Amino acid sequence: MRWFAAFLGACVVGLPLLLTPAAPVAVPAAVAGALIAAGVLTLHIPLITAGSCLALIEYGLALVLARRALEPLSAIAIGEALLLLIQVVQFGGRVRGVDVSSAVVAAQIRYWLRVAMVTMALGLGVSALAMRVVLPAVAAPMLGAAGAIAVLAAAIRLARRTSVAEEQS
Amino acid sequence: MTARLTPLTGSLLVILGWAVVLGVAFGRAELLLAGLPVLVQLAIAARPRARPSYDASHELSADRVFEGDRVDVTVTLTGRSSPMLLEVLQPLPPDVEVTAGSTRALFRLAEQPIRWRYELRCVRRRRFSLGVVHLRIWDLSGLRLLETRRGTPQPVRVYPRVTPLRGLPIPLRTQTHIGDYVARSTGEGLEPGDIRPFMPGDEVRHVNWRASLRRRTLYVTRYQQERNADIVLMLDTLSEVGASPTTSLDAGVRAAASLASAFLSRKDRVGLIRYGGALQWIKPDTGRVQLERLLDALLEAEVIFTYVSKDLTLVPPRVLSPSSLVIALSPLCDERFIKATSDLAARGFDVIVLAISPVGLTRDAERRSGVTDAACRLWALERRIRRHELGWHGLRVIDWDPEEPLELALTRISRRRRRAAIPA
Repeated sequence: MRWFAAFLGACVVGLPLLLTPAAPVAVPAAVAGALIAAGVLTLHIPLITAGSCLALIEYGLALVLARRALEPLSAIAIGEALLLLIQVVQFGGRVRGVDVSSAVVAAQIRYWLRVAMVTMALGLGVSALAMRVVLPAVAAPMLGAAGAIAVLAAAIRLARRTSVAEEQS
Repeated sequence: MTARLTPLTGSLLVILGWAVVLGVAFGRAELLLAGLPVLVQLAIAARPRARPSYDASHELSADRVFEGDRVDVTVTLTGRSSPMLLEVLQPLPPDVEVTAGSTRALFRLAEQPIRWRYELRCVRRRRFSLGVVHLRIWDLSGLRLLETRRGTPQPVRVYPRVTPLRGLPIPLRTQTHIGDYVARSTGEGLEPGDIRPFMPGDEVRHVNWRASLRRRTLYVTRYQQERNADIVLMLDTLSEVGASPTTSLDAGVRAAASLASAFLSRKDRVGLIRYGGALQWIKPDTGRVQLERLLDALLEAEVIFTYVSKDLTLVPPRVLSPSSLVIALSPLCDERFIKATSDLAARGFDVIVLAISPVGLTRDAERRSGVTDAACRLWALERRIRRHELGWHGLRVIDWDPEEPLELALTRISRRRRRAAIPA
């Protein structure tokens, strides 16, 4: 489990470096790599979260310095790797010192594969749409704000659903 | 049942929010795309799910065991639900070890019942409950979980270890009930006592024909009576030395259980006094039920701190009769217990003090050093002097190191006492 998480961590940190091998990208990459490595070793989610946030900064810097057109594939790959990394580390922490049957591991891997396929298809679809539709520069912050509102709404809905389930029980 | 979000949800939200912020700040849509898988995962996890149905039942191989025995536990989990993972945890009390399997497991709920086995070893006497398992039902995304407890508590009693004993101290006085001790007084019995001339009322079957023919007049054989005795085990619960599960109290409890079992198998009546913060007693009686009663009382023996010294005159005479043999089990660390046993000896009770040596137990519990060794040697010398002093006060004190067999300590009782004829 740790080896797989380490591989995913290397993907998250290494992909932006492959895009733009420059010193401004290498510095956050080194810090992010160290945090993710520590998180993988200790199976500690907050360390992985911090490392992931730094990896996103690193990716942003790499994109800005590269000055290329839209690159949906690397973005989707990094997003998938981030999600899988954090989930694998959490699963590793859950099963540490626990009797786990092979059916559990198989079910979990199947679930991750399903989610990865859905997100990949959705990401490719969205990026294809984005390439065709050219939005004015003013729309960028609005899109960002809409995304933030959507995240907030999802979080509130998730929390409400959980509290309703608790009340019902 | 408690439903809650896991910390992973917070982490994913942070990553997603950070991706959006960076996307806007850097003006790159790729960062928004990188946050898309996280958003999709959160949306999938937010879908309503059917409530899982499940049940857990426990089976124990034994609910009454002795120290060191093993208990096989089988948990059957049944459930029908959407694909979810079931994490099961059986909390264990201290001094109970897992020897096979694990008390924490993760399963996938399925149509077929899941049988989960583990083996426990009970190290120290105690009363505890098994059967209530803590369940955590995980969503496969790891973002939500339900927590609950299921099952019925099943009490398990771990009795102190009983060691078979052969060489037991012989009581100086016996009771009127039939037992295994050959009494001095004659009457009904199996052991021939003396011969006397025939008297009216004597049974013909008691006529000693050989003596009658030699003396030319009828003689009858008289038999020595076989009696039992009252044994009162007095356990010192005022002080305890050493580290669990090998404290002086644990050693005393094991010794008391072994003595009780051995005396009861000799048809003696055995009682118990727990002399400590709370003075508790069990009336002497015979039989297997009495052994169970004594073991039940012994497994609850613990030190209750108090400054108050208890007076043994509170104990009713039917529990502590003057003709009973009192075996006091104590590390002799508390003066109140020493005074109580000295008072008993002064009142004419037949008292044997089994002094559980705390020196070895302390040495084992402490870190090895020259100072510890010197202190333990001095302590051992002090205890030897104290034993001699108690001997002058009429107390018979036997020193017992719990690392050596109890049988060996019991053989230190003088041969004179063991061979003493027992008055009726």
